[in-house]
Amino acid sequence: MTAIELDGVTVRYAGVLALGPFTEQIPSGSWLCLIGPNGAGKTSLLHAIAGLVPHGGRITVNGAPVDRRSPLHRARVVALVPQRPTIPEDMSVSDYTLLGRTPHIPRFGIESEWDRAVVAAVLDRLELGPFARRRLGNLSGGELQRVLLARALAQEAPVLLLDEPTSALDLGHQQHVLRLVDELRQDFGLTVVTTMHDLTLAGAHADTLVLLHRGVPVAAGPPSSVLTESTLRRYYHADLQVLTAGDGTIAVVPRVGHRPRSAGRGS
Amino acid sequence: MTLTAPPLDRVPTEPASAPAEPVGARRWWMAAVLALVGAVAAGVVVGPAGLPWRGVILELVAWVPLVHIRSGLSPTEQAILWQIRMPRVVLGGLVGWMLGASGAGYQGAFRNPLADPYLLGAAAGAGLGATLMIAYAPGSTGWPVDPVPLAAFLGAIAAVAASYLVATTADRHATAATVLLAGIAVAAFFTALQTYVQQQHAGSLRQVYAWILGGLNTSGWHDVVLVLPYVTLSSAVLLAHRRLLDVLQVGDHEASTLGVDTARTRLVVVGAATLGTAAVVAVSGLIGFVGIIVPHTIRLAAGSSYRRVLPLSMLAGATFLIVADLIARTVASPSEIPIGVITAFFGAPFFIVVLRRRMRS
Repeated sequence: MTAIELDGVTVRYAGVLALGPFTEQIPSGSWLCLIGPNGAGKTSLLHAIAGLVPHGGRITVNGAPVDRRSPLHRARVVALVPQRPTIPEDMSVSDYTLLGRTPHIPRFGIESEWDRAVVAAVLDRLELGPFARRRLGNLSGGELQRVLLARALAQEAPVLLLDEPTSALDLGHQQHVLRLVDELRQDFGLTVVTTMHDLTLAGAHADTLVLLHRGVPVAAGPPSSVLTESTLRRYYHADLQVLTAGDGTIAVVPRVGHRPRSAGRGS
Repeated sequence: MTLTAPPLDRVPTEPASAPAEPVGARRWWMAAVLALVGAVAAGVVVGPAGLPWRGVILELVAWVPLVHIRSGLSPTEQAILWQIRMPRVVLGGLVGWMLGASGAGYQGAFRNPLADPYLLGAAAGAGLGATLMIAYAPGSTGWPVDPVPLAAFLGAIAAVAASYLVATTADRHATAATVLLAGIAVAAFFTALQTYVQQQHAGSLRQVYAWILGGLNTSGWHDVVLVLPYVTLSSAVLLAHRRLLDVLQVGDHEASTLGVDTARTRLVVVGAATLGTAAVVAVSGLIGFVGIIVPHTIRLAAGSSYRRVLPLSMLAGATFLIVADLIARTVASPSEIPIGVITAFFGAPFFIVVLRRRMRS
């Protein structure tokens, strides 16, 4: 079943084309990762799916065009964790996570026992229970990233959009957060769309990679078909090599002090 | 996705449940209510007439339906209690309640803890309206209503409406920053006009200055009846939006991904806060500091969620102004100190103490 259908999607800023046309079908429960150099249009696509920017073409989430859904209904099917979220530092972790229940609470209402139970369940699931009363300003980067996930998860939306979810984290926290996302995806059948700059991590977790260049998809498919030295060198203009381990794990590493080579140990 | 089954199943121990209010917040609720009751009691007991406190309390208890007791107060003392002190205390409470609520509303709507109810020109507009009326219609006889409060009310509404109009012509989304900048410009313009009118009518300077400093010394039940509908309506709207004010704290962009129409929410909150503020400043003058210090102190004490900050600011604002008025009318008795002087004189050091304690913790 298709969760997200993108048909000739374009995004323009002040008349200038930033993305597209972009066409892709994202199956329910899958993980698609958008990669590409800075300014390739990755975030624009996420924002278009979330209904944050006007778009051309057609974006359908769970069978209904996003631009025909009200913002409230859209928030019930799409949750977005932005790359640079606004953090109200004095707000407690539980109050912040409760914001994710907004699409489910009547406009002038207050949260119900059920909403609080969902928040508590999400915090427990993300091992944030002991942090519930902590101020956001007192959290580490890894804790904060889990809190952002908690808020998105509390939305109970079937589609989770993550814009550079690991950009501010150390290696250990990067792995932890991405494993967590993968677990949540499998547990709840989430459809995950992320943007990522770390190509090794992107290849390790996503089912499908889409390489964007100047707003246009130039390569798409499983990580092994997209993460090739020739493709990456061509679009990233970087000196790198792609290594493939025995278990099929792909690592993209920069070369230091070497000239570009036409072939490495990997593809 | 639905979390109905999976996450609750995966919770390792007891079913997840979050308490409705942190224990600390519950304590602040009780403290706020008790402080208000204490302030009201002190407000009606203390004064130059020297009413017996026992008689005053019995008189208040006797007011409760189906309770029949004699307070022992003389008719004169009863008149002082019911016609002078009680309306003044109630009006002070309403003004403080509204300024506290409006301050919290403005701070939430603009994500700025330094915002106050006068941010978008309400004070400047009210000041201009009152000054125009004092300067050009002195004496104000023959009017069906007192023209000075009416002009102040309309001036405050006009200034904030002008701020929003200017902001929407510059930016159709009326983002917080645009509205703030427009408010600063409009306030400066209205203040300039007010200063000009004041200079042109130097004879009215003392009266204008007295109004600007604020006070409750001419109040009666009439003023209470005048502002009560506005305060009730405004408070109801603000309370209904207290959860949405929390959502606005993540910024317009993220709030919209949570399904909130940020521009509409901000407009309604600012509209309600302005209506209430305009009504109370019309009868009390420009009492400063309450709208900024009270919500901020509450935030430092009881947490930042507007689900708590807004209602607690109402209670604490009422308490603060009743106590400030009590001090204003007793420390230099029989003359009165302008209440605005008291709110700043005691409010500023108190705020500094709270801030230092918070920073140390």
